[in-house]
Amino acid sequence: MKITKERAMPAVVLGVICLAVALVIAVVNLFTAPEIERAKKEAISESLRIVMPNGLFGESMPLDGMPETVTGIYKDENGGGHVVTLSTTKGYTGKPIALTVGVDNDGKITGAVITATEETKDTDKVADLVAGFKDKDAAGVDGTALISGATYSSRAVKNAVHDALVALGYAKADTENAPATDNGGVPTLSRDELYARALAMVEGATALTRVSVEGLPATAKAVYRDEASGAYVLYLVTRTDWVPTETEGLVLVSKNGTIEKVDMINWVVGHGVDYTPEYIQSFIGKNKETVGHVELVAEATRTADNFATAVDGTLEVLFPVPTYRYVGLTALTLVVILAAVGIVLKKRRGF
Amino acid sequence: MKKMKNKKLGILLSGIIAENPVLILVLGTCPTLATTTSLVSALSMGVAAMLVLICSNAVISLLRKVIPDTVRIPCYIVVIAGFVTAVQLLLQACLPDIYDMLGVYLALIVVNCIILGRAEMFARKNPVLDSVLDGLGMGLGFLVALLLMALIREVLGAGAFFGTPIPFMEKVKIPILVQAPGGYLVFGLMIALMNKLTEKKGGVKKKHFRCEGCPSAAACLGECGTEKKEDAQ
Repeated sequence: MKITKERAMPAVVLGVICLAVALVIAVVNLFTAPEIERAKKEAISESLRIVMPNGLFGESMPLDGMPETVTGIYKDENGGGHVVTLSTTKGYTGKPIALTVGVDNDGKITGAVITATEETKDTDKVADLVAGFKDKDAAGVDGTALISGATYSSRAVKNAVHDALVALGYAKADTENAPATDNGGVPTLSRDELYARALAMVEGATALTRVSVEGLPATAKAVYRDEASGAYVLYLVTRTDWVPTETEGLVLVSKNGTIEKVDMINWVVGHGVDYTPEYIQSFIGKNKETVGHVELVAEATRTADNFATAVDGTLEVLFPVPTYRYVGLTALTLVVILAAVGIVLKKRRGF
Repeated sequence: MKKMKNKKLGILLSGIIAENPVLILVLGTCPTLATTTSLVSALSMGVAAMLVLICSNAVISLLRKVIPDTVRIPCYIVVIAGFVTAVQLLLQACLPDIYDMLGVYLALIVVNCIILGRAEMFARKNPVLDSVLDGLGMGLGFLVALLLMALIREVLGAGAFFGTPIPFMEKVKIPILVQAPGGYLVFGLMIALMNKLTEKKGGVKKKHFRCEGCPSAAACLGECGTEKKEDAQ
């Protein structure tokens, strides 16, 4: 095919226009790029200056190997230290608490603040606790007392601030002294004591594996599994609004979802009513379909019901309805609907 | 001279009222509904679109004798996209809050029907000054329509004016007006009102849109059947 002027001209004109526009954009970019970069740093810096007022910050440093609560580490380009942003899912409601913590070059906290929370209890007290970390070092943070009645939230934020110091190398990741759960659970037992008690529930078991399951309710603080028998031991912590302490219990569940034992570690006694043997016995032999019918404790019905609900919720996640049942039910429903529509159409239109 | 001045003024004013791109021609509906939940975002979008419209009309008019017919649409889009990109970079550098507020709708100005439509219908057939005036008129019409709609939605829907809460509106505001259904409702009512106000003043109506007013006339050669249907009516 001969390339004539008529054939080539449109492509040439389009090409020239594209080049001209690209040149214009390049020139505009040349002038605006430094300003855009400065504006981005300013936006990041503004959110971080609440804990380090004179800081200038760029992008976050890499987070490889950092504690899981750390969401960003920003170095102050003015040499003031670092700011760490954190997010913990270990609060009372199970929803994330976002924190920003500033740390100077000596490992002392320049400021700490909660930036987002969906906690529903004692939020002011927890915010004050966080603000109180200012000028403390790792030892000072670890020695801070938890807030009574807001132990989940205060433990969660305290651990997060500790993680900030670990991330910057001013504290060690202290697993030996960690509470029985890493979920901000009530520290009635240490981790080792809880494990030993869980192991004792499973006859013949020599070891249990701590498993991580997605979608567990916030009340399920730990799930252990005996690989040999397939049984689970659930560590559940629940609370009722009008008493200040929590209910903790271990529940042994067989591999097919039947409850075999319940060990009540700590029963809330704020109103002086203890659990009954009948309550514990009523769990035995139940599964996720029937656990809602346990015999509640008179004058402690809400506490008893909360614990039973926690068991139910955990079993729902551990033993979900098989997919084939959903598919089968859906297909059956569709067939019935289509058949009904077909019958109606046939009658009306002689289809 | 006076006749020429009147003609220029006519070009400018037609885009604001008689051929308002949003309320009469019903173009650019997407950014209209999306950015009119607040007066600030409406003002920002209106000004940005107006700037792009003026600049693209000017450049396309300048190049109207150079651009071959076969590649005119791709050329127009490249020019428009270039100006939109420049506006984006300038906003990101100088007014980052406005840039964040407009979000994806800033880039969508490239495919705004008003801009491509005016390039095709006016700029490629008219001198540079007339094209600039047309761009200015259409841009102002777009801006006025956005502001009117945003005024209704923000004051009555959010109980605020330019972001400042209005004390007595807090209890009587109608939140659905800042949602999509409310936006469509306000839009429809404004079009109806505009039609009513312009029906006796020579406003452009659908029945006058024949082949000569259609951007696709050259492509379909009048075979879409619109003229035959209107003739039958």
